[in-house]
Amino acid sequence: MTPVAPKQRAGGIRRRTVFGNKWFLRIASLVVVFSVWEWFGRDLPYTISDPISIVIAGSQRFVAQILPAIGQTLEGLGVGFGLALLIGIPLGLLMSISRVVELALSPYISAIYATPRVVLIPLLVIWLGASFQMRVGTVLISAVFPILLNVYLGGKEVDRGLIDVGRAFAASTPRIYLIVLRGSLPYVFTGVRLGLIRGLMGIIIAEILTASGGLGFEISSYAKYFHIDAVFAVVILVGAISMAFTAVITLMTQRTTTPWVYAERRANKQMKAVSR
Amino acid sequence: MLTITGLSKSFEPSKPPILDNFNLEVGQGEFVSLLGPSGCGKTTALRIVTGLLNASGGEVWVDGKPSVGPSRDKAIVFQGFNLFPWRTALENAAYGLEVQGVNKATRLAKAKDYLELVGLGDRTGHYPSQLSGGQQQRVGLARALAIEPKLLLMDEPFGALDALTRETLQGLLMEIVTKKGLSVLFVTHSIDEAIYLSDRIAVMGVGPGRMIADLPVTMRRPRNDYNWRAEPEYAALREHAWELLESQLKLVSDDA
Repeated sequence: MTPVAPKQRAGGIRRRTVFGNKWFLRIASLVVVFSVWEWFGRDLPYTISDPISIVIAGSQRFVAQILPAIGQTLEGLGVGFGLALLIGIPLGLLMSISRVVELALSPYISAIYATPRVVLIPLLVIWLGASFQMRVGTVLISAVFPILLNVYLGGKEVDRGLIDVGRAFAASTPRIYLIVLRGSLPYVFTGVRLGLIRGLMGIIIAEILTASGGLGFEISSYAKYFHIDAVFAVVILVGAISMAFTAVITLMTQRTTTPWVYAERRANKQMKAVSR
Repeated sequence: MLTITGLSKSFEPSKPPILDNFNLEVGQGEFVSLLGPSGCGKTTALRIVTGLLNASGGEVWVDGKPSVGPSRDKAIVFQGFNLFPWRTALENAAYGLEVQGVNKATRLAKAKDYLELVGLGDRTGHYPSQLSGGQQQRVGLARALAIEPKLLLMDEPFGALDALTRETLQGLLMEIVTKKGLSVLFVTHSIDEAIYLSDRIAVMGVGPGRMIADLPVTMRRPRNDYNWRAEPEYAALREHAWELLESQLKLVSDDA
């Protein structure tokens, strides 16, 4: 037993470090999934297609069709989301501070929040046509409610004692609002993240439904001619855009809402450096 | 410096008032403690003087002028420290000055001076979460002192601290108050704390909150050596204050 045991243990540790490495596992999983997809997909081009065809279809159409479509979608998303921020943050703040505004608005907000806003797209089309404004409107109604609701709920969570500090030192009303906004910043960012994702969802759906340009329109027109590989290329791109948004906002959230966490980490590093 | 006349406060008209006909005077450079059992309305009275609550009746005068709402000649130190977690000690200490529109260089320099005064000169860049409770309350004290108020209001400022830290901060407060000649209204439920710090102790009774005794503390200053608590005057004062408080505690327990 004695001479063999250490070798076995060493082998066990090596195996564990290979399989326990998260990047190894992620890459291995990707390779397996895509190989299986490729294997079956080659014979099924009009249903599930295959990764290599998707890459080719995507890159062939990228410059002429997909890139301008990205521009159109992001333009509509940017304008609509900007409006949603401009309306949602001040209104949510006002609701959390003023009881009158809160009681007057909260029934509508809750009701609309509970309704899928895409049901309003046909109305928007009637009002605004299959236009840029309609797509902006869809983003606005999709994004504004998660932002508004999170700012409102976050504002109610802010430590009353901090607001007392502002009042006791005779701070102006905008400064008091600033304390509420800063105190609810983690909630604000949650609202911003949800709003951006909902907004992207809203505009893609509007584009699919109304053929008014953008990535949604590309998806629906490729699907119409059974270019399944091109459809998948756009779908994967939309997923990547959505993930990139989430990642950026998460990073911003961590950096700005809790600066003291970074200060503590810096201090710990310095302590370690000193003790070394 | 501070005159309170006929102050009353009730939150619900159907219930007995929290404060009824409460009168108090704090002279220039005087340290007055409000001592009372919990629920007697001492914090309510302090919040009204600060301007965080409106009185139902009565008047508050500060420095010869009627005082309604918050103003720049008063500053408060809170029991729960109430520091902004996203601001460093220096930025927190400078908050009152920032609100008053003092330019950045001036207010930070001043805040630094006051942090040094409270013994935190080497912690200016730290966030509240990196400071102990005692250090956080030092920042709270520096923030209040930095606006150079005529009247310092303190709401059980050391109530959330451990015994040893409390004594250290009491000593520090005494030192600063003496040096600056501040007028202070100090809320506490600790008899020892009230005797140690005060020139006068206003003992409050319950149901409704009102003053039941105004005890002058004539003991010598400074009171920072170890023997002052052994003096007979201390024991007599303590006993007197305790009897007054006990009579009110009985009322509270009868109620409950």
